Amino acid sequence: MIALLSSAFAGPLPGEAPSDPSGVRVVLRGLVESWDDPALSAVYSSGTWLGGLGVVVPVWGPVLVDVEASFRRLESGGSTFEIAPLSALVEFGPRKGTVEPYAGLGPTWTAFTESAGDSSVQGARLAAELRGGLRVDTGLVRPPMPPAGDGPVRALEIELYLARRVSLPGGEGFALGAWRGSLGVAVAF
Amino acid sequence: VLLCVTFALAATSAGTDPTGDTGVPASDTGSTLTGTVSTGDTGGTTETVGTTDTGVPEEEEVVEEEVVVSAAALAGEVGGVRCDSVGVAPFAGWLVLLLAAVRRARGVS
Repeated sequence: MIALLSSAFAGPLPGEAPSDPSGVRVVLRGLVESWDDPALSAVYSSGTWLGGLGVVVPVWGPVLVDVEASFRRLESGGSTFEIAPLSALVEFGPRKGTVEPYAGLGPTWTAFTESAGDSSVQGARLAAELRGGLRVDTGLVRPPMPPAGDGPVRALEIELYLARRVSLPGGEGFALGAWRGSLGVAVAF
Repeated sequence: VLLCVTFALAATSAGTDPTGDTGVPASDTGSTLTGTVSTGDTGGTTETVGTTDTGVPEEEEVVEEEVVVSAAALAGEVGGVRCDSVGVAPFAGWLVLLLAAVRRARGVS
């Protein structure tokens, strides 16, 4: 990790063009969520890690659309809880050299299923997510020198973000608001 | 005559003495009551029936049920889709952006 970050901030070699991660990016994300709901905390855990996959598509200039899906299954005392957050955020990320800080806002659709004994409860929540993060080009993928053509992979980035899934308190049922954090690897095509 | 009167008075005082006569029945009544109580004590030996009650709990089977805890039950979750108002606004905004992108792609001004 240190080697990747140091190479990222080192930038391209003299006389060498920087890599171009402006295409579509596929991000493999490891997420950590801290839940607001006390019932989930009492039975399962106050939070968990999730595996996720994101696709970041440039729309116009620094404006991007980030679609992410993740999933986690928890078990406790014969009960099983599955949660699958899906988000579609509009992000603003002006690139400065090898670093791209960004902020995003958008809706999230969090589906869940709990099986306890013979009973099963399924549902979903539509909420909002506010996200801020950073993408750093590792510089491990160098642009080809002419006359060689471009390869399929244009850049390899490290991505880090912190987010808040906002769910209004009160009412019956799960409160699926959560603090979220992610560390991921992005491949730009 | 004096003798006759004297004997008459003496006889009268001896025959009407109630103190001595009432003392005897009182002691008789007490012995009867004592005998009745002792008869009732023999019935207590039949209480051995109660010893058979101790055999009943030995025949009972204790069934242990596994308790499954449900977070949905704790939270009052009944399932279904719920939309927070805080989530509807960005969802609507996203749809507007999507529609705008589609119109732009089709060349609709």
